[in-house]
Amino acid sequence: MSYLELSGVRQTYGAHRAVDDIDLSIERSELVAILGPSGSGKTTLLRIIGGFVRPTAGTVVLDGVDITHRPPQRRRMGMVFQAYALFPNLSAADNVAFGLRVARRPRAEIAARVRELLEMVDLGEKGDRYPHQLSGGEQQRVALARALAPSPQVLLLDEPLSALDARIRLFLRQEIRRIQRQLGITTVYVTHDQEEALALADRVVVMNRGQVEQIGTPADIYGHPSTAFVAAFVGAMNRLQATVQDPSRGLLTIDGQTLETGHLPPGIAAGASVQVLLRPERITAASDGGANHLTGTVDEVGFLGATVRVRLRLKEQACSMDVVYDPERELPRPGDRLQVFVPPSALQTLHDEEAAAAAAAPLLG
Amino acid sequence: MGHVRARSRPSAGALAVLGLAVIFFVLPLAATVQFSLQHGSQAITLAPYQEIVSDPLFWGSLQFSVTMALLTIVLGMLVVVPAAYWVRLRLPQAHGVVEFICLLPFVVPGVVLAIGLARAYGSGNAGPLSNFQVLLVGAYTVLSLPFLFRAVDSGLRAIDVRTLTEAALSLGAGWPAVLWRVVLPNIRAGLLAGAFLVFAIVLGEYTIASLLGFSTLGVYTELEGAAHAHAAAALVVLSFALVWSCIGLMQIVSGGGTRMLEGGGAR
Repeated sequence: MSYLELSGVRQTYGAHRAVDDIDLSIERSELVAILGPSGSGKTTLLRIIGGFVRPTAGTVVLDGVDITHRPPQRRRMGMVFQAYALFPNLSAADNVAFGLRVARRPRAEIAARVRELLEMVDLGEKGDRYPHQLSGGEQQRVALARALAPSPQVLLLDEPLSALDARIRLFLRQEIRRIQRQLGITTVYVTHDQEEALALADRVVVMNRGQVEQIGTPADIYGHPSTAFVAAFVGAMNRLQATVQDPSRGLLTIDGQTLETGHLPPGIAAGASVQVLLRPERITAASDGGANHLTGTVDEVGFLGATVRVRLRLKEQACSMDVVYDPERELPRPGDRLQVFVPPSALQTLHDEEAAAAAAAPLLG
Repeated sequence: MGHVRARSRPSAGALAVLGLAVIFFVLPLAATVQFSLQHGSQAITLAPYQEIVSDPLFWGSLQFSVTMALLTIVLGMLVVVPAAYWVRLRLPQAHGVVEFICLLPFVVPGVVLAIGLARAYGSGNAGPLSNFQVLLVGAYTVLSLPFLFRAVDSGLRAIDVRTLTEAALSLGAGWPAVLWRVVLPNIRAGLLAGAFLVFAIVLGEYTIASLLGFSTLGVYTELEGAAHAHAAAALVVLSFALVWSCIGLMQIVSGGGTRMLEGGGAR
């Protein structure tokens, strides 16, 4: 049995199912990110784990003990909130000491633990500052130290970096990962930022409309999305309309150009219409003719910093490719004819119902 | 970079408004002080003040009023703080209803309230409420509901009640600790403001105390005013100074309740 087990967890508000029959197993010392758009039910799920919401159905088991009906103050789970939630009347050190004081730990132990934790989050010198005297990033580090002070069994983080600017966010993300590894604490991290989830987590749970779409390692989620929603939500993706030409050889045509794919749905007939998903970074420039090439006219060139996104018009449709920016090399210009290579493994096809779901999600191309 | 905005000078219009406000508030006070010290064109005398402070009835009514005010503050806080907190935390949809109930004392005249209370509870069958002193504290608590609720509620609005509560709970704090260590210290400015208002209201209240037959400071002032006009003016000046001293004292005792306002609460 896993360290933290959620079985058949459901939360309904009237007819609306905020969380719909979720099963999730989290191992000891694992960092699991729950990723999803607004309203996907990810925060509700975290609040169920933390005990702030009592689920309509299902159980939450921690280390073999059913804690479904245990109030939050007796769950031993540290929580970090998006809005920091530091107690404004207490200094940083007193905030960190709060959990130890309510647990009536000896004074000397509290002082030592507070010092240790403030040093761990690199705020050893700022213990006497009040929250309003600290920057957003510093406040969130104090909040992290405070949540960790009573040595919780599980650490819960609810979009902890959303309110911070980009540079601090990146730094703090690494800090959270370092501290989590150092302490080996089981952690559930809720975010709507896919980059954050992929960079931090051992495993990612992608949620949509109250349900789990896919659970897997960051590489699984990105490289082998199991549903159209995951494919659309995680990373940039081209979506193209194609016709099956020869199912036995995995051949299909996109705007009259033939391509081979390793992922045709089983039992599909020649002439069937399918949707094809293709990551922009899997397309590479190719100078020679040959198999699995697409030819088109450059429509648009967008500079993104480390990469350049080139939009290629095929005929009716267009697809985008990412090129690593190299100041030594000339970039394609709008109007140029370009031939690109598409590896067969990069072309993923969708069933009809999946394609319909994907149509609702934002995609490229 | 590093540009510091110069302190802007107040405009002539703002100064004019300020001047009018000062005249509006200070002039009657100055006139009262002058009237309490001088009989017509005679020399300045402290006799009216001596008359007041040497009257045992004054000290008796003052002690009674201060006691009633403190009891009202305690009872009012016990009722209003948990109610306002719970409404903010769990029943935001009931906020309007609770606010309406708390505003009701504004539309019920003091005379009606006093007579109604005396008739409802004065028969001797209402347990502790048949004791008119208990009844008076209850009446004052009802009377101060609009002020207390507004003050406490605005204090609660300035902090993120739900998140702070959940943060405290996740750290292992029980409900009493959440209220005592997290909520109350962070709405101290609101609590103090409410306490000041209640204190001032109870010290000056006349109608209910008079109808229920108590000699409070308000009743004493009224009786004194009917008999000795100059002494009544001196009494007004004294009670004005007394209320402000008590407010200052509460501020000092509570360690300066405005610090949290300057710092701002959690958002």
